[in-house]
Amino acid sequence: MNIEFTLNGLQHKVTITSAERAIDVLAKQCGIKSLAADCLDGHCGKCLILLDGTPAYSCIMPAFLLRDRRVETIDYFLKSREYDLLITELHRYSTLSCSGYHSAIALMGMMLLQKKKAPQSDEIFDALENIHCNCLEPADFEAAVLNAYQKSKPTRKQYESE
Amino acid sequence: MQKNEYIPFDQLEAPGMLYACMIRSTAQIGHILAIRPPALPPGYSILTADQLPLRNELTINSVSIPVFASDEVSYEGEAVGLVIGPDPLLVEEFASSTSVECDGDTMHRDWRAFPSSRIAARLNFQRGKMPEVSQDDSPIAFTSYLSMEPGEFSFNSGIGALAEWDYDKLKVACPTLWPEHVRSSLASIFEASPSDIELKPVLMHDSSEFYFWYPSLLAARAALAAWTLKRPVKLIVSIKREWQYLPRVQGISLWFKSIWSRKTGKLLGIECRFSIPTGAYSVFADTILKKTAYLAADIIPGLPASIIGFAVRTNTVPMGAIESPASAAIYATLQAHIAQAARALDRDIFELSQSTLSRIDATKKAGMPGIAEIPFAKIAKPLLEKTDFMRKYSAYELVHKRNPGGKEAVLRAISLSLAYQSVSDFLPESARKSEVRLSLDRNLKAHIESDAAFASERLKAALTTLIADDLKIPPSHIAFAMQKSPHPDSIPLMSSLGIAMLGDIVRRASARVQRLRFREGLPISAHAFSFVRAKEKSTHVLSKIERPSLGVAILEIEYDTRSGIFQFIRMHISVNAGKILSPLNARSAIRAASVNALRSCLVAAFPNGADRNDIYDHILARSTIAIELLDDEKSTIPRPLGDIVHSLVLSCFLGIMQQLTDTTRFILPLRPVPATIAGGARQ
Amino acid sequence: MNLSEINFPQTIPELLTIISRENDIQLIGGATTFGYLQATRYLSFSNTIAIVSRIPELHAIHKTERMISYGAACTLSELEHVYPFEYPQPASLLRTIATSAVRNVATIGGHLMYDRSFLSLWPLLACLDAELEFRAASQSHIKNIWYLVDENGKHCAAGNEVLARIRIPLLSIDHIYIKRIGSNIFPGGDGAHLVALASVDRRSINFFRLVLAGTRAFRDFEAEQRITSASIPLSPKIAQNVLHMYAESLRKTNFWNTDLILPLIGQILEDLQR
Repeated sequence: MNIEFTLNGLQHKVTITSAERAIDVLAKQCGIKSLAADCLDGHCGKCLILLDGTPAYSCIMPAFLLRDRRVETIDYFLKSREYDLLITELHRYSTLSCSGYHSAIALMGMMLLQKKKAPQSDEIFDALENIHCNCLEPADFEAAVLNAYQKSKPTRKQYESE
Repeated sequence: MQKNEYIPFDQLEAPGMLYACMIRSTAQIGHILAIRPPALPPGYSILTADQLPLRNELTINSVSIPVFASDEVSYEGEAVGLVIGPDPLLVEEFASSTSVECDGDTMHRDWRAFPSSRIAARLNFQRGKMPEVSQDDSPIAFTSYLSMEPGEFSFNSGIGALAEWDYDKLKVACPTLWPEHVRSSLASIFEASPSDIELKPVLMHDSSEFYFWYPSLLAARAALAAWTLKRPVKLIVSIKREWQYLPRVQGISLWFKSIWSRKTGKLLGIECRFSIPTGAYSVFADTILKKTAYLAADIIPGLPASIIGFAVRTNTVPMGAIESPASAAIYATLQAHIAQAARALDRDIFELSQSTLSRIDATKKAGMPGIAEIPFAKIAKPLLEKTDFMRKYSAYELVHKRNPGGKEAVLRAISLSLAYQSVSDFLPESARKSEVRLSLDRNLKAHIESDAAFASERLKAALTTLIADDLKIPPSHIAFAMQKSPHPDSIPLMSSLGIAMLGDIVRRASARVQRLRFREGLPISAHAFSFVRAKEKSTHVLSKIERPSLGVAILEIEYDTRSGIFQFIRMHISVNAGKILSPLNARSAIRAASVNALRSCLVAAFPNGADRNDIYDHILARSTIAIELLDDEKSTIPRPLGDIVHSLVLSCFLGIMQQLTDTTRFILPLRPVPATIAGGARQ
Repeated sequence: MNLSEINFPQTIPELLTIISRENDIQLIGGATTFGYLQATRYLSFSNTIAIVSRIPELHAIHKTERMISYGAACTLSELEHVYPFEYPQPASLLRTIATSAVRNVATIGGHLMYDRSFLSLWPLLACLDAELEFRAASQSHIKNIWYLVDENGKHCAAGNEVLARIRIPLLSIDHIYIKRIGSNIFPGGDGAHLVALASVDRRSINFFRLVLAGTRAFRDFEAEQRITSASIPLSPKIAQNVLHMYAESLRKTNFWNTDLILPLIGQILEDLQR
């Protein structure tokens, strides 16, 4: 059947079957290369997407659940200023040293940066728990996100006033 | 080749490429009676061993493994062939619905009790004579038993191999940290020269031992398929379906006895018997036995020790991790006995640990200074103060003594471990050399030819920093490339000794370039190598890095006695490993090793396993692991870290278990104790 | 590879029409279990599937003075700030079910209707006397949550009815005890939760429930009655009496490990004695 959904700001129409997982449709039909289907268990986090703004594992999700939803991957944020700020902070704390999880870590960071209020510790640890990167120190990720959020505040205020 | 050219394995493609997935015998072992695939549409085919005209054999450290099981399936999940076709998902579907019938031999899974016919290797280490009872001092002995289940490797760089033939030249891309073994294995199978095998580096995210010898097997399968079908073939692995059939980190079953002097509180000797499972093919069995034994024997030099070990063949997937928590088992149990002795003999636990593990080596080795007192105090004392260890230890001990067996609902415990990683060269027999060619051109661009082109991004980043600092050039000017004439005896890039040697020769090469560039002008190039001689224990580089790496760890937990769950985990680790190439990366690597070691202690091996305690996913995600790296100003090269983290974590954990339950029998990973369902009741 | 016909009903009547038409139909909420449990890359469902997670009525959360009700398609994340998850222990319980990426998609309906075992929130809602509103062709039925438990304490299917809403009476809870025991709960280990709730009014216990649920569910109504209306702090005699009642009823199930569970119940009763 055909379904439509928004992917990274653009409307996509794809033909799917009931058997396909969301990650396979996103990779094969939509050309998304930033996701990996390593575990197919919703465990490692490399398949994380934002579904209507909240994290979801695309490897355990049937493709038909993408219908009429808003999907974002890290590719959506690559050109934003917040992304640059985030990556700089993450590098400072070497939270990107485990490069297999770059996309997922950055995506969780970007999700937290989109919040209207500064993210709380609980929210940050909740986001990080979605990613099973053993070498990532949670306190470092928290510090990186909060620093990036602080630095992005002027930009946010400007957008809001516009 | 620029370093950023490497792409992840799952994104690799070749024109006209087909996908292949392994057909596994998951239900039975024994003589193969039939392989029954589903009806395959046009464009899809099956490849099995009987269709291979070439050698169906891969050699790893003198052990032969069939590329595909031909007459007989030796272990549950052994690959008997491939399904090959254009759609990767369909190929996976067909492979999973292909059934393999065997005559159903008995499967031997037990490696704790075994007949001699299943012994693949044995080790008998005897040193000195066990102490006898004398009139002055009747020794006190402690015994304990430790059993650790085989565990999973962690890996992030993808699994598989892409092979393509260009007439008689073979091009292969696969995530591997032992590229030379992939080349030499393929050359052997196809009776070709290694120079006809071009191995392309892929983006490696980690240094897991998973990428040790297994990629060679996958590369062989892909290459044989590509040769047969005359098209590029990408062998993919469905982790979810095939997880339990991928190589494992070996477990251990260990009985251990330590003998102490009541009078002086000194350790008088150790005795132990252990067995490790090696799976169906005993890859590196001897090496692992030696490593396990010497990790403990070397740290108590001169003391009587009797260590007997067996590598046991089982009908399970092959094992093969040289650096793992199980290899640290004897050492960790010794530490637990030190804690026990401190309690029984009323000694200070830190003083006893330090005096036991810092003995002066009376036998000087040729070319190496004798090992003097190991300065644990310098590294341990700040940590003991920071964590308030002594006060907490005494307080928690009092609670345990007052309420043995835990009438308290929640018990706290804290334990300490010390470790040192001495010089050891536990490498594959053939792996002896590490070399680098470094050149600097007139545009101040540095080009490094080395097997480091295959290393993890983390290691490459550390080496880049080292070279950039030495040559005073921007990191972006540094690129890695494969060696033009690869050495047949290259050392794998996941062994910590291999990494330390690589760090040393890169430093020497860059120092040489820096010295010569102003004298002789650019472009300039330098060649540096290290060679570990097979029989000798000391070498040029080993003597340089023989100052041991030191580690201290303190683990503090809260344990709910009623549910048997550790609710709270906090670990502090201090490590002195010489010159750290990149502190941030080193810290991440230590953290990853700590989490893996803790998981080995806490969590059952397989996902979806019936007794897997998933509550620890949540608890470990919120645990604190504080890591401190101590600068050794006198050091110029990194030292092997290897087992330090495994030794520290496992030692601490056994110490904790002893405090909580007074047990001398450790079964890891912990099963939730007790079960909610009464014995004999059916679910 | 089994291909299914996919339906996206927009209303409950539309859903019920599809159900009445098809023999072999599967209702899908967040589908988090299928993707996890199925080892093959391609997923398999029944011949017909109906996606319930986009029906607006099944997403609504209604609160009155006495009751709160959630639509069965509410995700677990959507419940984070509503009763009873405003209390810290239930909130913590919710977080331990799975990571937020799963909770954002998994539905409360799917969570309660999972038939291999009683998942984490089940015993909590059972303690709260939750009711399930089912919709069938021409009517709706409201059943107590124990409707999903058979005579052996196992989870039983609800037939061709559609779980529409979960209704929970609002209570002021004074004592909450939630203990996780055993190994994993999902997909089907021997793990379980022991949950006890009590509320106190004028120095007497006016509400007490204790539920143990994992592969099976357990509750002793008589023991609960014995405690209800007892004065607080609970007298040691009553506590002892109740403990004996639980010991006997647990042993009668021939299933639960009383050596593990009785001390936990003892701990709950001890808390009520303070």
